[in-house]
Amino acid sequence: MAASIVDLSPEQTAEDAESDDLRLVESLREGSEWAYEELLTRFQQPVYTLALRLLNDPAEACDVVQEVFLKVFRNIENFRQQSTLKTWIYRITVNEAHNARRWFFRHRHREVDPDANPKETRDWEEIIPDKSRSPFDVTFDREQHVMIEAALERINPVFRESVVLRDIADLSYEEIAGILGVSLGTVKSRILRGREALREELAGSLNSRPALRLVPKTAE
Amino acid sequence: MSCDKMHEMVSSLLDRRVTAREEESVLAHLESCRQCGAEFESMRELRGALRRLDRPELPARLLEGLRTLALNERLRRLSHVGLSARAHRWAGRMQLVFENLMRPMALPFAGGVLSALVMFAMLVPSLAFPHNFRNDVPLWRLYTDPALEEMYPVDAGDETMVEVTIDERGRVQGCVVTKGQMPPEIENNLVLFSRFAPATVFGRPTWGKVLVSFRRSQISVRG
Repeated sequence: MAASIVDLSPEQTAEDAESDDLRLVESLREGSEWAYEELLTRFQQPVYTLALRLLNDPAEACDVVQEVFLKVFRNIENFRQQSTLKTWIYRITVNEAHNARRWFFRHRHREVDPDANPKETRDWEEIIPDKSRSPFDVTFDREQHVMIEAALERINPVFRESVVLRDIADLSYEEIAGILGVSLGTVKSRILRGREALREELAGSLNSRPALRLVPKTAE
Repeated sequence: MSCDKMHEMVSSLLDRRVTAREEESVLAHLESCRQCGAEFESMRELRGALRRLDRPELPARLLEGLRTLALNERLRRLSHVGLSARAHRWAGRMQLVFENLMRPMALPFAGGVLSALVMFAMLVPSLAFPHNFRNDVPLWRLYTDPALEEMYPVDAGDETMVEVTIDERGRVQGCVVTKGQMPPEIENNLVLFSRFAPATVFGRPTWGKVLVSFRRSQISVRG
């Protein structure tokens, strides 16, 4: 019985999500206020995270997010439910990030974003110390994240897309294949090669940090 | 399973994209091969680190921009929706008015049509009128001979033949005795009191000649 419940529940959630999507899309087409709020609430964070991880530039990511939502609002009529709303929006995000990256390489000029440096825009939540974690842990995590972000930026963008969609956006292989418009085999291969490239990039920077065991080492 | 193959399997195993049998053999290999085991561990840690990456905070400028964008786009859509909705509502109202107008007439109209059909079906037989086609000229006959309709009783000789010329009104215009003898008074009576149907061409009466033969026992007419 437990197995059957476990098996059934994801299907039900998928159906629920589909009907939610349908309702949201219909309401967006009718110009309902709550639908616009709901769409932003549901997708602004994941879309921004995805754009930021793909571009590693907050200013560019902001532009991409605005462009993505503009396209979503304008083209909601053309959404035909052949994929989920999430997959559709992520596909637009990946394409926009791709365009932005191409544009960036053509015009090598960065804008200064006032919100880019989080240290200058700390709010009260950051000032109040978190007693559950030691300052060492916090610093350690931050260092680790900075290194991973840097390594992500250095690997091939094609592999980076797949790794980000799988490991950060937590999408399934099928969803990634739908977003990137490639076969499942290609998705699998790109994820594998992306992870290996990432590990190789991290290998150099983590050699001096034995606490992070991201570099394979055999026991003596 | 070889270490080369393991290389590919490690990533799939992390994503649970392997079959139960493959998983079993991979795990067995990881137990036995330290190099592969370490690779698997490092890959798992990398994946965990990626998942633990901080969720970037949305810049206030972006949040504000998105709100403005949503508001503008909603207003833009409402203006479009408003136009189409107004047209739709107007069409619906017109349809309702038309239906309301037609509904009281529907039953009388249907009844009227039905009763008209019934009456027509009943009247059709009585509408038929008698046709008289007796004087019709058959289309296949281009020319008809004059015909004798009424003859003055003639007491001629044994055998007498008279060629009579008939005008378009059926009157005798000329009379020539071609065989035998005929007294002039009888000839005059024949011209005066006999009636002929005129010859016709395409149904129109015209002049024609008829040969009348008298015998003692009978009168025969040959065209």
